[in-house]
Amino acid sequence: MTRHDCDFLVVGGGLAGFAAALTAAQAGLQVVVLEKTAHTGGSSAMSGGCLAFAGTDLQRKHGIEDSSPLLFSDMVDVGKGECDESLVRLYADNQLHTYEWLKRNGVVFSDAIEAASGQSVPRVHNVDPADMVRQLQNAALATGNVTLWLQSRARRLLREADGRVVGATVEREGETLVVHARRAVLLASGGFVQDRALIHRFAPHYDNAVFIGGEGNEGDGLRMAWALGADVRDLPYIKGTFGKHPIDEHNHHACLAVYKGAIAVNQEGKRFVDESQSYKLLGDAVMQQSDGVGYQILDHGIMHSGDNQIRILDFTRRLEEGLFVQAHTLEELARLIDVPQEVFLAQVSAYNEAVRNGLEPEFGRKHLVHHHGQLRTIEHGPFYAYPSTAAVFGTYCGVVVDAGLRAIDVFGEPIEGLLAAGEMIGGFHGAAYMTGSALGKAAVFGRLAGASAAAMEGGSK
Amino acid sequence: MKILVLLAGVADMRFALHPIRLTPDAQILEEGTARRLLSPFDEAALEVALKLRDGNPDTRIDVLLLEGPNTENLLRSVAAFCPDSLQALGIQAARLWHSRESARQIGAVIDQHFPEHELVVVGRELGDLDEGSLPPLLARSLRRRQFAMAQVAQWQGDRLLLMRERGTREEWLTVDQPLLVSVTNDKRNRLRHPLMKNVMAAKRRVFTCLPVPVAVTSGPALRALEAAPVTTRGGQCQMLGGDSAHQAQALIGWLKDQGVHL
Repeated sequence: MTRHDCDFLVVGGGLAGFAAALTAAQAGLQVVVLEKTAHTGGSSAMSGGCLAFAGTDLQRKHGIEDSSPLLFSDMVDVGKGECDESLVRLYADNQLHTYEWLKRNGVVFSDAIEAASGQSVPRVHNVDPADMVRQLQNAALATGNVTLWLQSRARRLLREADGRVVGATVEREGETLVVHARRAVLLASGGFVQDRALIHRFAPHYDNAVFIGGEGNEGDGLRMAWALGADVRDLPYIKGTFGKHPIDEHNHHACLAVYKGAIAVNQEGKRFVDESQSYKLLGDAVMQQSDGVGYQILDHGIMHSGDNQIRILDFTRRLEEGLFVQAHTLEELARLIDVPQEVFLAQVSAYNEAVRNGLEPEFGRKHLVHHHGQLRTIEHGPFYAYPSTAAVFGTYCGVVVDAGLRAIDVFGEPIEGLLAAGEMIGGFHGAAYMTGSALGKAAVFGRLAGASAAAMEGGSK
Repeated sequence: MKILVLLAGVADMRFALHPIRLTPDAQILEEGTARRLLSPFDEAALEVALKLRDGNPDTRIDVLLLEGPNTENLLRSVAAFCPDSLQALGIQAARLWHSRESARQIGAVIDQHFPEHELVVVGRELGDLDEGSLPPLLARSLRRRQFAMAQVAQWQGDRLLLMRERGTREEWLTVDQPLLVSVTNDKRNRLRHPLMKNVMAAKRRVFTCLPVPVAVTSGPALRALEAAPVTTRGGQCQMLGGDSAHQAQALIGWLKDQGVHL
């Protein structure tokens, strides 16, 4: 079998993989990056491009006071105590450096900044996600220390007698070869959103959801880690993101008019949830409704409070694409979306009445999103409905890791030589997640995994 | 009233171009993740039929969708509008450039399976490879008259009326015989939003394909496919920042730099 040697083997050519590869290459390691498909980017490139950072120059420019402790507190809060606080601490302590590092390596952040799911203050930093991966990939290749193999799939991890992971078997161009890694192997191959059977095993209530993610995200990394006894976390918390139009195949990201004041109603015309919650919890809620689908209901003012530079708030752009149902009156809107008119009008009226009187509407909604923003009424036409179901963009669960991003086995022992980062890992999010923390963790933990590999002793050759 | 709607779909240009190749029997094989969506003319044809059913619940709508890339997804999107029947039509959609042959094949299907349908409704162009010749050829194949460029169809009591505009005038036809209607898109026949309960139900549907009952006759055949020349794009893209006033100012400055007199 053909053998290839390197210092650091990275499985997966998405954000986590290239953040790790670049960091390790900048430290002088010889790196091989395996990408199973014909293109790099994976789920990272298909994401909404939101990264959760705190205390940045961009926030200061917008007069937003934020900090790592507040970010930590928000993340633990939104994770409902189910997250591994040591990982959240690791993220909070390293996110600001990562933001600066991304900028130094060519990643461009838009000037806009917004609050979204799970955030006490606006901290969504926006990028073109495909371009971000491309920038890191270019920077990595420019070091001269990184080799990228496309259409190359890692199949099994290789271990020495003492249990240390020293490489992987790889399928490439019809051949199976062996790649040996002197320092470490990083699993950065994403989750398993493209393996419906595996999704069904852990989250059968999401069978009717829309699934969007990198075509290579079939759980390869998880299976290879499992085979070595790796422990896993957060599998019960696989969730979809609320706000996906069920038949729109062009906008992969969700639309969250609820975070600007819209309400969510089901096909019976009734509100069914506190709309200010994490869109993951909203995803759970909508999947419990008839057909797993509902509508976001908004008026003219809310429609124009969006921001087309922010993918989840680009309402008027989607309106131009014909994705909103539009009506002059709420009565007409009820007819167009075929919900019981009397029930629907009573629900909107009760919501408006509570907001006007400073009371909590049903389900205890207090804010637009998380602890941010004042509720507004829905009363000035034209009125709009955005059909919404849940989209499973990622699996948000996986291998247990320690602060060095080392994979941990079911007995709590590190699997020497094996690192994991990005969507591969479990424990970071807990029960729900903050907007920007999934892409953020790929950048932060990918970078830390690269540094971790660089700090390791070289293994056998 | 029985209506047969014929849909084709067109390439969805928002997805990357897909590779195609020629098979040994001179058919075009579309590979990769080719995507189709309903064309504006397809949508108009479907909406015209739906409006007629709205106006008279006794109206039956049967839909045939030409087989091709992404057929199942396209069938699901049409199924969400709840036609009474919906099937794929097993014609080689990639050979629609041979309009006379395509019309002959489609006509044979309609003669065999839908001979009693008073209206055959089709967009003014049927798919990417039709430049508009297929509807009249199909009308001839079906031995029917054609009402072309229809914009509106409506009931007036028991009478069915079709309308198209010409200049400042409207032409109205009272339908008194089986007809082929080719529809152009118009704000009055923009396809409605499907109901979500129907969208979700359509996800669970299984579809069948109707085979073409006649053999393909000889005619022009493809011998080779040449790679399209790749156009190298020059210049650099520059994003204009700031508010609209700043962006306008920056654009004026850039145009002046290019020698444009403003």
